[in-house]
Amino acid sequence: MKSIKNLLLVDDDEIFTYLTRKTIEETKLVDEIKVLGNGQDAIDFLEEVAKNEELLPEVILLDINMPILDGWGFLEEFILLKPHLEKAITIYMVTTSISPHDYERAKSISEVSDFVIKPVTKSGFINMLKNASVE
Amino acid sequence: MEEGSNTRFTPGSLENAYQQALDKTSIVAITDAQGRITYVNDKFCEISEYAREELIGKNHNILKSGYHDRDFYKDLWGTIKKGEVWMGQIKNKTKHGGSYWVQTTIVPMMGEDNQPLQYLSFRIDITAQKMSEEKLEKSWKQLNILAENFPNGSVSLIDPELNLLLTGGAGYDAVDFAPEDVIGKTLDSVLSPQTYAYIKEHLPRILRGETITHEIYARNRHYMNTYKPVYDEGGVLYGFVMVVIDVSESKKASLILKRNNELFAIGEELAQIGSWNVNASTREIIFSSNTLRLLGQDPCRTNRSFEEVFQWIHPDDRHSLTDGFREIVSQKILEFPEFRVIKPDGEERVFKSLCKKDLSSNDDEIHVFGVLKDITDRKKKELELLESKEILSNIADSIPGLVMKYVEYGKEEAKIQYVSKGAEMLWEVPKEKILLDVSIVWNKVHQDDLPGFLKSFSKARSTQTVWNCEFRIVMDDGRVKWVNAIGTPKKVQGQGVLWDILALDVSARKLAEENIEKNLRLVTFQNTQLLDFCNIVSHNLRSPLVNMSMLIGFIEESEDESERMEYVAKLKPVIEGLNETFEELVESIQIQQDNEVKSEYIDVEECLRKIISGFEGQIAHSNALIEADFSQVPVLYYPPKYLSSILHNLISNALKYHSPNRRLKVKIKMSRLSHKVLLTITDNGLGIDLKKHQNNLFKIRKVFHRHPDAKGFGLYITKAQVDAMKGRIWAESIPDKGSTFFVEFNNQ
Repeated sequence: MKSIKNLLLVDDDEIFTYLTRKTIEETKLVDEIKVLGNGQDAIDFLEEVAKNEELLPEVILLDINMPILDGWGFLEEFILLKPHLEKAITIYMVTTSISPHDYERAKSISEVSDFVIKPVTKSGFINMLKNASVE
Repeated sequence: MEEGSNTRFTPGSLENAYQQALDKTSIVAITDAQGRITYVNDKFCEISEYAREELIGKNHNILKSGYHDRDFYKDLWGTIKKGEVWMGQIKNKTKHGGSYWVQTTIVPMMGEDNQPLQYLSFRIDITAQKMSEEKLEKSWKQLNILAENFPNGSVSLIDPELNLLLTGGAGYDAVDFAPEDVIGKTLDSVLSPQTYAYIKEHLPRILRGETITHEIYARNRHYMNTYKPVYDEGGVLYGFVMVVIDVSESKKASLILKRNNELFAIGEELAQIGSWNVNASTREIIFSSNTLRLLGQDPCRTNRSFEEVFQWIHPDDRHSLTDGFREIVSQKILEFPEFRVIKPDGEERVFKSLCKKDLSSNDDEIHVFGVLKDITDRKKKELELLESKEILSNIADSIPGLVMKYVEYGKEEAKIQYVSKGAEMLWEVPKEKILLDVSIVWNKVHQDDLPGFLKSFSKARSTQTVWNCEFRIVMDDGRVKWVNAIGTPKKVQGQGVLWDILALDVSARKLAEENIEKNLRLVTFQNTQLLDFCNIVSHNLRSPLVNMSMLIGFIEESEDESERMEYVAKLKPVIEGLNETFEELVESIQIQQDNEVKSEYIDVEECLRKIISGFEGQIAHSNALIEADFSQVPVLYYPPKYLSSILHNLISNALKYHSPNRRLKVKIKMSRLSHKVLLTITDNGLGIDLKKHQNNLFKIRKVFHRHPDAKGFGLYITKAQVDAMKGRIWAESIPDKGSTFFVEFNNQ
């Protein structure tokens, strides 16, 4: 199985990012995990490495509820940024939301590959990452 | 013969006897070869009125009447000179100028040289016979003249064998043969085959003495033929006279007359009218057949007596009808009063009659001509119309609203044609007043609704479309009613605009609508809150739970004690966070559910002073400048807890998110807008990008700045409080320029 070089985790919940990082590391499917606390930081980072294929993530795990710029805000900016990126990026929304409104909204955005409800188990991550690498 | 009876016949005197017999029967004369009279008998003298002595020795031509021409005598003399006997009829002249006809036989007596010696003439008087012949001839001539001059047809005399004896007349001008050509011929060569056939068929009747007349059409003309038998003096049938008269012209005239009468009858029938004609002196009415049909009478019997007609009339109308007739006769009126007629089948019909007295009639003989119309159906329709008008008016009156019909003349003038009873109830003005002045109706329209009202009204008028408008009317005591009006304008030539207007009281509906709108707002609001709650549960409550479940999973799986302790340590802040969020939610729900919260009159200045004192340290640290202007609203009626919370949160935000690049200035102001008070808190701080955050501005746990104390709760709880008091909160902001928060307080 092809491993993922860069994965970006965008979430403000420190406990969650700490545990997720641990879980993903255990799968040994990802070389490098980067964590950013809100959408604005993530956009800033992507703009910075837009032309750098080495640093651009293949997968983004995106939370919805975040300060400064939330997941939806990030997606709006990402759509504008996307044509300037050197690499195709798979985005998973990883959220605590069980609201059908959020689910419907995520489905309507083509950049979002899947909508995953927290908590995410190890096997859940494995499936997600496998699918991402296939894409 | 007396003399003859005395004559005795003796043998040997036969010769003598002949002479005697001859003398007695004939006029005898003897002349010599030159014509000189040598002997005449008594009869000769008698007829010629000459004495014997006067005749003897005279030439015979003394008796010449001049009637016969030279040829006649030449023939006579030529014959007898040859010695032959001449016989003929000669007209002679008497001594006294009279004349007589004689049948004459002249026997020449020849000598031995075969030359006549003398002539013996024997004559018989035929004057009477000759005279009647002449008379007959004259009669024929006169008859011919008569026949020839028969105008407009022909007259003919025909014998029983159908030979034409006499004929003539102007009718022959039309045919290519003359009367002379056909006299003596049988009728079949003269008449058209059908006429001839007719005569043949009816001949026995004619010959029996009947006079027959018939009309025929021949040679494109109409003829009237009459056949009348004729008898001679002795009463013996002689033949018959045929008189043919060309009746084409009169036929044509009568046909036109007939046609006109027919057309008149058709016209009457189509128009459903009848005509009549009265002769007042004979007390008789002549009806057209259509009139009789309308009256239900036998259409064939056209002449009716006054008395009979009188019986047809409804008993109650007889009197007025006879009075009417009397007045018409005296030329006072031309119209009968309406009257009812009872038809033979019992049906009652109403009639109207117009008439005219014939002016040419004199007092002795008064003629009145009139027409008659059955107006039963029209009367019925009029009645029905009247009834339906009444029904409509009743319906209109039963509508609890204004039903009105009025005409606008020009710009200012208007006239109400109809207004319903219901108008009084709705407009609270007596109907009579509205009828006098339509402006009473429109003057009650609420001032605020008047512009829209006038605009829609004049638009409907100019476009001729239905006017529909909802507006308020204000009663004298200030009560307000909602009215929905529908009107249809119709331009009437030369009259202005005709309006049909229906206006109903819709106050109850309006109230219901307002309630619905209020409820809708409430439901929408609650729905939003529910959605918010769902979000809160999804994110703010679920995330610590998720974290806890994940940590517990890690703890269970971990075999390293120190690692396990590390996870347990991480549980503590998660649980604290959950608790904090939970407390905040409870607080906000309490606000939403707090019906007990009481408004009080608050000294705004005092309230602010207390809050500011709480921020003294921060204000001093940031060297902030805070200005407050409560001059317009020194006192606010509001729950004190909420007002201080609102001011606290908004001022706290202004202080928290100040720009490091400039001195913070905060302006606090309250202004009054009729029943509302607007609080504005303006700062020159960091500002918020509202393009991004508009929707999340007042949501729980939403933060827009990288500030360590940003929690996303202050604005959330502020909005909950404002909402609870039915107020509004909103913000305007430019990033790095500053923000203004607006709070609107109701019912001030």
